[in-house]
Parts: sequence; C-alpha cells; structure tokens
Amino acid sequence: MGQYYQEIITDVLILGAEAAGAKAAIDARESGANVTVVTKGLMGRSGDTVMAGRGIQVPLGHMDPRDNPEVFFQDVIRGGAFLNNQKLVEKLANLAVTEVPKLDSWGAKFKKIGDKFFQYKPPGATYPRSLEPIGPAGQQYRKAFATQFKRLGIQVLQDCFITNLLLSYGQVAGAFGISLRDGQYILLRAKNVILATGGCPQMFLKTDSSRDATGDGMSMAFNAGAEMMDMEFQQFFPYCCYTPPCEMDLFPTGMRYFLNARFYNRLGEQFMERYFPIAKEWGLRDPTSRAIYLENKLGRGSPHGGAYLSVRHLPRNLIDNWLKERPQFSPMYKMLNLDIHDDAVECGPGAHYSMGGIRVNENCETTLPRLYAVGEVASGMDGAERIDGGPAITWCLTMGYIAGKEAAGAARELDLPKIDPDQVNVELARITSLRTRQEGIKGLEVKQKIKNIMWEYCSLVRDEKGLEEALRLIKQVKSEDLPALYVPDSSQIYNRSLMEAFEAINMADLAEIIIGAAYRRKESRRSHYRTDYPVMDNHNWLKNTIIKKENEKVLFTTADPNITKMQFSETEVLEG
Amino acid sequence: MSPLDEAEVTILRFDPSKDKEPHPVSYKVPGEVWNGHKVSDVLRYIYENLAPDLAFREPCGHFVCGSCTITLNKKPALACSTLAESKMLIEPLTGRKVIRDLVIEM
Repeated sequence: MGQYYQEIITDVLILGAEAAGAKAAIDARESGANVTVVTKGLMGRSGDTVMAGRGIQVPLGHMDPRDNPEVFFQDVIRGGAFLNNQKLVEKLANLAVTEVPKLDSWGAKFKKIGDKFFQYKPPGATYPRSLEPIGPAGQQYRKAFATQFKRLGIQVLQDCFITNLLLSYGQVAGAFGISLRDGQYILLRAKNVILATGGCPQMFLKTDSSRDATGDGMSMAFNAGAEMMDMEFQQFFPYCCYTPPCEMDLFPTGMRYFLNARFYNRLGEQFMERYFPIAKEWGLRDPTSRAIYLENKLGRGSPHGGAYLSVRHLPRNLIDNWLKERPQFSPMYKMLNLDIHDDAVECGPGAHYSMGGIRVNENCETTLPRLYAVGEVASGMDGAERIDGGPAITWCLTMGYIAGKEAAGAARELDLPKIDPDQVNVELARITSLRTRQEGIKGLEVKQKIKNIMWEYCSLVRDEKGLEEALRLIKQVKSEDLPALYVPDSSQIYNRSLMEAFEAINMADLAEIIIGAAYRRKESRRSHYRTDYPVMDNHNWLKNTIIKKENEKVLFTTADPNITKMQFSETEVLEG
Repeated sequence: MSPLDEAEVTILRFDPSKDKEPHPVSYKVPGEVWNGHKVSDVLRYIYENLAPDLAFREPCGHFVCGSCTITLNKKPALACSTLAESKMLIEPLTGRKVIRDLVIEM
C-alpha cells in the first residue's frame, strides 16, 4: 500500500448501485456506453431502496381511470408547496408510465387484479396510484436489477468507498476511493459521472434510514462546487417504532396504510383530528410527525416521546389474515413482543428522506459539467415535501433513465479528461493523515455529536436561537473535532473506522448548509417549521434556496422555482 | 443467572492481512446492553467500546437487507432481528469468503 493505486477507465461512472444508480447503469449500457458502478456496501443491500416496502407511485389509472400523469404532477406540486422544479416533475410523471412497470417485467412482483395492477391511494394522492409489492419489495428489486446487470454485463465494485470527486479544468473527471476488501486505492476516470448516492437522513439522531445514508455524494458534489438546493427540507417520518427503540418503520407503516391504524395520545384521544380536521390520520408525513412532537411538548405523548398506533378497532380475523399475507413481517412482529389485536405500537418521528440535494435541471445535469445526479441525492422533484406512497422509487427509475441515456449519449462526443496528479496526491495525503494520527476522536463519535445537534436544534421544530446554537456547535465540531479525527484500526482490510471518519467529514459539511438554509428561510413550509415564523409566507418565500461553495466560502442565495403550467394558488396548498 | 448479569460474547475474529487463521476473542457486555436488545446492538457496543477494529455489517437494521447475517451459536441469524442471549458465540456466515471478522462476500 502507499502511493500505488489501481486505475479504472470507463465512459460513464455511476456512484451508487441501488434503484437510481442501477437504473441509470442499465439505461446507459443499453445506449451503448461502457459503464462502471461503485457502491460502498453490497449491491441490493445497501442504502434505502431495499427498505422501500410501501410501493411505487405510477399514474396508470388501473384502479381509477381518472388518474393520469397530469394529476400525478399536480399532486406532487401541491404536496411540495410549489417549490418543485415543474419542468423536471412533468417529465418524470410522464416517464413513470413506461419506466416503473419495467421493474415488474424484470421480476419484481406487484399485486394485480386480472391483467391490471392493484393500486392504493396514499396520503396526498388524488386517486389510487401506488403499486403494492407482493412480499419483501427490497429483495425483489435486488433480484430484478441483478438479473439485468448480468444480462448486460455491467461491472459493480462493491465495498468501495469513494472519498472525493476529481476535477479537470472545472469539469468532473472521475473519483478517488478505497476498495475496502483489499485496502487498495482506486482512481476512477470517466467521461461522465452520475451520482446516485442517496440522501442524508443519518444526519439526525432518530432515523429509520439505512446507516449508509450519510450524504457522501451530496457533500462531495458540494465541495467540488456544484450548487445545492433546498437543503433545509428534510423529511421526518411519523411511523418509526420507538419501543423497542429501533425506528423500524415497515411494520407500523403497514398497520397505518393497509389496516387504517389510528394514533392515540396518553389521554386516549385520537389527536390527529385536532391537527388535520379534513385529512385526519392521512396527513402528510412532516405535519403528522410534528403533531406527535407537539403532543409530547404538551405532556400528552407516550413514554418515549411518541404516540400509540393501534388497530384494535378491527376484527381479530381481519388482522390475522393481513399478517398471514405478509410473512416478511413476522420477525418484526416477534421483535415488537406485543399482540397488535390488543396493544398499540409506540411510534414517533424519525428522519427519513432528503427533499433537498444537488440542484439539477430536467436532464438531471448538475451545475458542474459532466456531473449528473439522480434519485434522492438530487433536488427539485419534491419541493418542500415528498408526498407519500412511493414517488421516491419513481424518481429513481425515471431519473436513472434520463441521466443514463444523456450521459451515455454525451460520452460518445467527449474525450476522457486528464486527471491532475496533484488532486490524487491531496486525497492520498488526506487518507494518510487520518491513518497516521495515533489518538484523537473517532469518526463514530463525531457522527454521534452531529446527529445529536441536528436532532436537538434542526429537526421537527426550529427557531432562530436554536439554529444559531446549532451553527456554533457544528463550527466547533469542524474546527476542533475534524482536525483530531483518527482511525483506531490499523488494518488495510474493511477498515470501518476509516470509512466512518470520512462519513463524519461529509456530515459536518452538510450539517452546516442544512442549518444555514433553515436559518435563512424565515417562514414555515411543510417539513421546515419555524416557531418564530410559523406561517407559510408565499409573498416572500415562494423561492428555492441555492447554496454554493466558492473560494472556501459558503454562499446562500434564492431563486424562483421553475414553473411551467401550475401557477401558485393558496387554495391548492393542502392543510398542514 | 439474573438478566442484568454480564453476557459473555465470543466473536470469531480474522484479519487476513495479519492473522494466519481465525481465532475467538471474548468480550463482557453489561446486562443493560444485551438484555432485551438485539444482537446488532451488542456488536455495536463492542465496536464502540471494546474493539474499535471489529469489522461487521449493519446497513438497514430493519430486518430486510440481510447484510448483517451471521452465525449465532452455530445457527444462521440476522443480527438486527435476533434478541441477544447471555452466552453467544458469533461467527461469520458459513460457506462464503470471509473478508474480515464477520464481513463476508455476498
């Protein structure tokens, strides 16, 4: 080991191997490009795709002929409180009809009635639109993508942690990383790079996300100079299990969506009706999370800061049959150690999804030449709030299609950029300095600090004083802890501590811009709630937050959202 | 044995860049860490407090991704969905190439 690294040359380099990255790889390969896919974990088991069990939204109109891409588009814009990139959403809503059913033809099975898909109506959707996976969805997606990768001969580097993007005269030219399996450094050179590394919900103490979701791709793109958008919008999911304290969400969400489970507070009140007189239990995710949070503030919560989710109003055999149809739930049910016929599950909010991310246009191009971003790592699809019931996977599949085709097509005309050896040396020096330090603070400790700061001051409820304190604490982490990061593991092989040190660095940068964006947005809108500015201010804040790093300084500005056909209207904004 | 007694957790450790062959290492884990908690919580405690060089996988924690599959007391188990016991022998899943400690190629 040392100065030596393996060099890999490819037309299109894709970072991230789950729904968005895998789909981009398939479409780029089918367009004739040479493709290399990299993941920091195992393909099909890493990131949040494998946990997406609730379905995928696609406006096929099989359950209600009134549904179509136009209605889907309108639901998404309304849900996002008009901050979405309408040009992008319009394209994705149309593409969904062809790109989503491909998963079914690749072997991932969804519930059908005759030759039509069964579709259920999630909160925020006008008509039934979500496909319901049969059995464990994540495992089916894994098999479906693996089969296509095999058919197309797509190469995947697993357990490969990317430490940075590499540039060449202001254009993205590749990436540098470490193969965890043998400790070897890897220099990846490409004509085009697609980021599909997911969101950053691991930034928060309570989260139902994969431990991989540390926002590495967002941080790397930001540090390379790409514009970020709407980072203040981070989604909190209200159906995370608090007892046992695992934030496991699939089972309670199943109870909520498919068994019409009801929330109760400590006093036995169905309190959601107070917050959402019309939507009742079917409020959007963040407002529902906040309702639970506020009940606790008022002393009406459950012992661990949540609420009680119950299906006791249903007949015993109805519940039994539901459980029987879902054998994948049985270990979760066993772990809960209670009888849902009688007992409620204690649930509460956890960070779930990032609406904010890398700014892209309708072709999924970032503001950095030769860099594309797809899926949750990107921004503009969801505005201030992603609606329920599976548009996240819809975005992955449709954006994967767009970027895969675009990047492959453009690669035909492009030369392979040269890599400045100085950049590689900087990366090597960064890794070496982490590894040679003999004492200090561990990556996991820094991550824990950041998670606590973000949960305390920058999660469901925010205000100016708290955000100022959060910024002060994060700056302290950056100035005192990051320079003292060390790796308490001398092995070259699968060095988890080294990976966690880089994740800590990535999270610290993102924390600063999330807090900064939340501080500047002086209004409340969906997932972003300020107690000192509790009202949606459409006069001043119908705007996207744009964040950019220039000459080592972080610049915050605003821009008007990209509006095509749905003009803002007060009456179109849903309650909450 | 009282449920708050320490658990004895033995992990089969192996780093191919340093070790000739796998060898068991035992760790004492306090009652409040293991009792009523999952095997993955115990592994995390050991990694955070006793063995910062322990290699193991734990992405989803929601019983779905399968990355954390191990051999627990000679039977395959998901670390994230199995309750910890007072005496545990934790080995990598058999039949796969071991990358390091409990991390295997999948």
